[in-house]
Amino acid sequence: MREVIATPVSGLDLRREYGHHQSPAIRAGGLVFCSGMVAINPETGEREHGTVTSETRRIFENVRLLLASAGSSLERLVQVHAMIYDRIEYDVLNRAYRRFLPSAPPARTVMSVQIEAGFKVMLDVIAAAHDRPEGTEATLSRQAVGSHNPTLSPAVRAGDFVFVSGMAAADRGTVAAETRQVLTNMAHLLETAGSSLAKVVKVNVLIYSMLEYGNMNDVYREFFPSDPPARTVCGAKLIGGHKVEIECVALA
Amino acid sequence: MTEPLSRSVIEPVNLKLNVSRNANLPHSPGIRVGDYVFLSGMGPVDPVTGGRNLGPIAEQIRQTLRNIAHMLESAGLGLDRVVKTLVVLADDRDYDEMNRVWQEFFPVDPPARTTCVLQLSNGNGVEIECIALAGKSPS
Repeated sequence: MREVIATPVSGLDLRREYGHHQSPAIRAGGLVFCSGMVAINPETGEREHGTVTSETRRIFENVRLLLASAGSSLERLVQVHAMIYDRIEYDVLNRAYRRFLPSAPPARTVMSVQIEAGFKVMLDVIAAAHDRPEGTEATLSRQAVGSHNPTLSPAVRAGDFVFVSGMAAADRGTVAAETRQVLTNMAHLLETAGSSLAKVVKVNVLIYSMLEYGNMNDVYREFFPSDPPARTVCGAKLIGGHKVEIECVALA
Repeated sequence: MTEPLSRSVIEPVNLKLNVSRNANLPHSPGIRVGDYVFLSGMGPVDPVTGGRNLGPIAEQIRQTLRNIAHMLESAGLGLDRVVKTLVVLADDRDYDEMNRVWQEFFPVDPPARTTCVLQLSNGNGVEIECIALAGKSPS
């Protein structure tokens, strides 16, 4: 089952506030996948740009609110992609971060990326929710899906989910054209894996420049007409000169 | 009613590889949740000294993947259970070398993978994060 988690406070709905085509969080397979969170005032939706410390604090307060409405909590975080605008603030991030996760913190990867709207911090998190309903045992088989490639499987079906590799367009083009080609190919790949775009729970978009966010978002929205997946978008240098690379996790 | 999904911390048997404890960083080396294991981004840490192995990129990648294998073994799993990886390189010119080394560790049905190029700390050339599925592969 794939459930959209509504925000407990309207300001955290970035789809409503800023047109980001994403659900705040999706609960599926016992996990909660949240969209990348930035420092937003949860009541008004206003952006609260600040220091790495103040943005981190605000984001954790918001993550706590969002996870509570999904039946989870900060103590139940599993994985965090802690994104900062510059690696030089790694220690500053750690000091603020530690206050919210004093013991048994989640697994984490710190990524220095370009973040939307000039923010300094974004947290992309997965948390544990509830067990799957009784009588729906997961299979523990692991199956590679898609055309053979010696270095990566296009997708791997494992347990409740299908994990899809970062996909790039074969033909270089505009951000809009690359986004369209990637999502078209992703739809085919997911169908080969017994899933579909409608079952996608989380998408990560890497884009060569966040200045082209809108060009990606406009095409993206056509592929997810309703209840879009949780999503994180960040700016990073991509391999091979691609402008867009998209990976996802879908329900099997 | 359904129960909360189980969540536990995974730590490496070799204490030299426990970077988060040794450097007092606010992450766990790994978390097992339900049927999945999520590992933190790992780098080329020398398992004997606990220092960094900043040799040629191929050796850094091998060291990192050996460390990931050790983490998974500490949770009773092997590299053949990895389903998804995120590879961060400091230099995109290392991509082809990474692919060569990758096949030594994942000879059949390699995991799904996303690669990007980002700033890394302390001169690291690579950092790798992964998700694995618990249980044994059928032999």
